[in-house]
Amino acid sequence: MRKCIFCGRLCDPEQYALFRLPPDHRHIRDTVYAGYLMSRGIRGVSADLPGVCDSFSPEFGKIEWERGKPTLVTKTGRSSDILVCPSCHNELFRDTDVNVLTSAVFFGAKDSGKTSLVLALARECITKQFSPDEKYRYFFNEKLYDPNGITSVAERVREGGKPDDLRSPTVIYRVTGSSDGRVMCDVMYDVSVTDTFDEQSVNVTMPFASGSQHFVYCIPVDKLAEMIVSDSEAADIRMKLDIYGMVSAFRYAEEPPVLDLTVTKLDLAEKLGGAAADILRVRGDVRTLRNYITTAFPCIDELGGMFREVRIHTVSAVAPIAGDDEAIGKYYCEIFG
Amino acid sequence: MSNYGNDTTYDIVCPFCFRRYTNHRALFVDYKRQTEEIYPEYVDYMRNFLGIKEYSGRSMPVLFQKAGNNSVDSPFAAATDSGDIAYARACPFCCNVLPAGAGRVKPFSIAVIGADDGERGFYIASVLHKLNREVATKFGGSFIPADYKTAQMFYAQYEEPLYIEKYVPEAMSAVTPLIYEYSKKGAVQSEEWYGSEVAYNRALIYIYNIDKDLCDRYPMIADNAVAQTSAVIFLSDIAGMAGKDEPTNDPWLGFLTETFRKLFGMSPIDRPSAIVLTNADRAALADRKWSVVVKSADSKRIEKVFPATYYSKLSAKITKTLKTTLPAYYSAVSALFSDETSLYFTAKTFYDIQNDGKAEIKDTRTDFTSFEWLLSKLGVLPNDRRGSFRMKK
Repeated sequence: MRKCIFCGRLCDPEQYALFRLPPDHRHIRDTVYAGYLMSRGIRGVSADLPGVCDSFSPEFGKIEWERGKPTLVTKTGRSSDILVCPSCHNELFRDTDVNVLTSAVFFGAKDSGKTSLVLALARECITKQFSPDEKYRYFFNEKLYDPNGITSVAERVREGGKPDDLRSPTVIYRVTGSSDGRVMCDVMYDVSVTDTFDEQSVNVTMPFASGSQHFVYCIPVDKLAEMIVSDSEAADIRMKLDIYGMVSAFRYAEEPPVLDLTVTKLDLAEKLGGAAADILRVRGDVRTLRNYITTAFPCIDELGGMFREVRIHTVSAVAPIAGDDEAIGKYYCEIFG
Repeated sequence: MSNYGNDTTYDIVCPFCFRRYTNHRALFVDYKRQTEEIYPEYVDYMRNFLGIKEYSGRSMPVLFQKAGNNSVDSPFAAATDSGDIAYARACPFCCNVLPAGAGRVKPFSIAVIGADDGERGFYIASVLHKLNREVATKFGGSFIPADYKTAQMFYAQYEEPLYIEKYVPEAMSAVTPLIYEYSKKGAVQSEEWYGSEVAYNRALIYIYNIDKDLCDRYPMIADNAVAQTSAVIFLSDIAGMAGKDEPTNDPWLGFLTETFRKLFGMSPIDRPSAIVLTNADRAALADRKWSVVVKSADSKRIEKVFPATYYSKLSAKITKTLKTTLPAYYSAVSALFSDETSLYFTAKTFYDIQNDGKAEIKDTRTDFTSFEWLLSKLGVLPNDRRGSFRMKK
């Protein structure tokens, strides 16, 4: 059973297969795909595409299966192996079976570093093939984002630039080093604050969130440090609402996700000093770090029960901490295993 | 955690139009399809409950009844026409979206009534702001908004004004209740029986803030909320009554009496009722007889244990004081609230208003105990007679 990484729908091509007709087929406006683009706020992408074809379509000829891979052969003899999701008409990628797919939704307040973090992870995969224990080989899905584009945006972020939200998922495949070469698929979603405007937004713009195994909440170290020393409950109340918006995304899921609280922008900690420097110092001690964070944000204990588990991480998207060049790779492994 | 593990169903009580019906009648919401059609049930709801006579409509998600041959077995999910799975559901009588727990867990409602808008708003804000933490640490459960709309409403109308802006939340004429969900950590079944007593491991709680504006502008909502409530929190400013033993000084007492008499005749309210006498510390300044009662509201004791007998003894002291200091008022209150199902609580002054209009919050350690007691009477939290789970120290 494959899972559409764009809308979360489960699809079984053996039961029902919908194909995108070959590129030279007449282009028409795909209103379903256009609806998906609109729901995600994706601009500048055309919805004029070759039509879709299933066994009820007039162009349908037959489906040929070879080594578990279906190919459509039209009545006129042209072929296409591009399966699309019946719900959103995005491509149904290979190796996205539910049992090999792990997805993480990155969310947080504006400027919390979530987009920079996703970019950093993507960049690390593209440039360095991160694998601290060399258990896997990593491959970046280039159909969704151009690797050169990703690395140049990530470089700009390192130099202080602010990236735009990533409205499409970021996909990385992990292949085991063993002889069976098992493929796993890791998907990262960058969620904008407008995606959680209200309950309908959550249901319409983030249907993929319901089945995600990880919800990564990003808190910048400067905000965390400010809260540790502050008497005000304002940030805690605000965080509670942010996390709650995401809780509503998985209210109907069979299994609640893991909450991965991630302290971002750790590269600023030393310069900021005070509580921020303390966080940097204790980052290796999970218990102390957890106490720090739950003291500042008691809502984490309040809402933590909604999740399968609460984990704490620290990371910098722009610079290695204490000379550890592999920190980003380690963080990736902490999230995706 | 509270994600639901089984397909047991309960009757649904719509928090918006108050209709009660079996689970299978709820409609499913297909968020991926919109309709320009104006559902007549929604128009009726707008007219009857919100007084909106002319409704031009806006596009809504498609609502559909699950057909008998729907491919999804679960009573809480349905396949849509496009093959997606729909989980969100709506009331078939008013078309409002139901909370996720509707039909899965037992619903209760609590009407919070009395005092002025500020005191009542403060009570709701303060209790719900702290209650989840209390329930988590004392009872190993969670008490959180059942939907995002409630979380946003509570933030905008209560938490932000009080805890961030430092202003007392005033009347907001909320036409929809705050919908909370209780769940006991690790529990598999929604309810457990201990002889003839039931303990709910999961429940929905609809909290209605009955303010004067709601009663004047939306009487259908106010009347239904009071008439159908499972429990009552009645706030009464006892310092305001001091020295003037006239029940008519409390207009909410009159409203409650009139509403209940109209519906249920002369019998007292037989639902669990917490009568919270506010500003008891000020009453004690005016009349020393109150000081005994105020002193006995020991916050340290309340923090450590949750004994129903302790509150019964405290309530007896309060009623004894009331009988001697405000006999006419006591007579009116006790005619309305049955001795068997109600308990008195005192609360110190919630806040003082400073020159800049902001609220200086006073000590309010006892406010949430009245709410917790009420939940225990509904079988949602334990009382001290049930040893089903222990208080955490």
